[in-house]
Amino acid sequence: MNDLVRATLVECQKLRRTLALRAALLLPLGGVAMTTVVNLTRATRSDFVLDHPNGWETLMLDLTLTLWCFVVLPLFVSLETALLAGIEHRENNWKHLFALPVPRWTIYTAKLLVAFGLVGLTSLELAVGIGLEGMMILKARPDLGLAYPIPWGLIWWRTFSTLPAALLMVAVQTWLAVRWRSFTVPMGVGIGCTAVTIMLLRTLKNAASTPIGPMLASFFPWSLPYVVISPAATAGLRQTAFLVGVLGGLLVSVIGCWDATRRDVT
Amino acid sequence: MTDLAMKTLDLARRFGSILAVDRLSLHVPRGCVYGFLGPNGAGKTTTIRMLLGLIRPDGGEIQLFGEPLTRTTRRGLLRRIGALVEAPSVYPHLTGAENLRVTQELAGMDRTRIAEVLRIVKLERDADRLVQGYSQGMRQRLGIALALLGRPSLLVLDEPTNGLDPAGIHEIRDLIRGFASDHGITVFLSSHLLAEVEQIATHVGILGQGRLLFEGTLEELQRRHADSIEIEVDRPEPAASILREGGLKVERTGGASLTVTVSGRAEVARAASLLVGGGISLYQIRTVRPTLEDLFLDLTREAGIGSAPAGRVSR
Repeated sequence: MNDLVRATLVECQKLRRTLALRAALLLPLGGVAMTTVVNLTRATRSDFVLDHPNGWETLMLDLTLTLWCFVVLPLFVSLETALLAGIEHRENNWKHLFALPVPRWTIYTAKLLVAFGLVGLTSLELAVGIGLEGMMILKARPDLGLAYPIPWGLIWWRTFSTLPAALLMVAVQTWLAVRWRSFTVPMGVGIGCTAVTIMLLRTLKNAASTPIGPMLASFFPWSLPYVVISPAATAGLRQTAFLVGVLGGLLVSVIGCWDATRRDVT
Repeated sequence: MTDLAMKTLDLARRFGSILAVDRLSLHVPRGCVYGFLGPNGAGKTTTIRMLLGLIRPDGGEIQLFGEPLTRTTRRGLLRRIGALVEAPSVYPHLTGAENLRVTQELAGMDRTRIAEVLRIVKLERDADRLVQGYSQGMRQRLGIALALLGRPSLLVLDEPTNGLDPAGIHEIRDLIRGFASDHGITVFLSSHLLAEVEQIATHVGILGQGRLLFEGTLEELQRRHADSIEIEVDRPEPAASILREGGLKVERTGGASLTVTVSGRAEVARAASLLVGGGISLYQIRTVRPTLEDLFLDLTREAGIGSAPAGRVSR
């Protein structure tokens, strides 16, 4: 276990001065900033729906988290995992790492944990960002119907509930990024699957007439984070997406780790 | 305790239809500098990767410090090995010291060792600079520092002077010489340059098409391949006749030069006195060392492998 802790801390050190860390810090903030501008410039008559509690659910799900989970998160995960693996691919550092007296599985697992940790960091930023966004709207646009108190518990719950469901996507993308030296492979798969995700998630609103789309969405790794928070998804679909995300994520993590550790390093 | 730092027995590895390493049996004594020679594509890097557990052999056995390399012994044995395989594995976005810290912390090595290895490879002053600003030679020295971090008993260096200018080659050569003499480290050094290896190696293994063509001390290799001298004279035809009559093997090299096979310094003196005694004017005598290409051709011919593999060779 000490080996894994050390490997994970070392992975964090390697993030210094990298695009991977900058992207994780800036992308969620950029997303929140964009939705804040959109919300602050809303037309007078497009108030927040006075849901429980007082428009905050709408604030989160109407724009910020939807935009994040629908499009940005799948692309972000593809980019992050490709960049993290690229740190080793660039100078073929795998041969150095795997020739050290360290269990090979710890090196792969540390990479996976850091990728997942960076997704967790974005959830944290989104939660804080949504709270601050709401505070700005309360000050600048009281006419939109958002009201105190700020439901921090709900905000944390909504933003972090996407995290376990994202595990499968992170595991698949990490595996691809480690397996293929080319940056194009994980990014290409990520972009293609994001397009499929957009198509699948659009079917959630018409679950009654087209049940196959929502069902596929609750199994498709890149769409799972949105399904677990989507008001349009049934409780059954949300539960399926959560379980697929967690159990599938664990399974793919083990397979990816096994594959990475037994393969020849050439 | 075995007196071999490394031993392989019938080591083999195939990539598709290509047999990269063919029943290779190496014997690397402790404390020596072992030159592992062969042209590019001979199987040197494949062998090194197998020695480090990076790729699995299809057959044969590897013993390090008398212990077989297996999944269970791998970790303990790798603690005693430092390696630089091909280009140094560094993180350009980190400083030299940060690069060393990554390996030190990952492998749980002694932190104070970082300053020591930086001093050994003479990188103390550049330790806090980003590696992306390092020259090729500095990167190579950092790669060696990474290999030295764990106080290895065996240092495996794969073409450590590749891409370096003459000054860089000289620096690395001095460093390697010091590892064995000052620190008692066994150095396993792969190269395609005989001239480079013969200046520092005590033992040599020559690989061609994945097979070991020769293994022994440098003296044994030199004894096996008699030196030649090239003599420039005023009258080559009579000079050749005189030398042949004196029992020496002579070839006309072209122009006013003759190539004479000699075994030792006494025969050089004898050839010179025969020519002077025969009234031949000597303009120049110089020793001709066999190139790696020559050795390969001889060794492959002896081994019945056929034509030597294509690759860069040098004197």
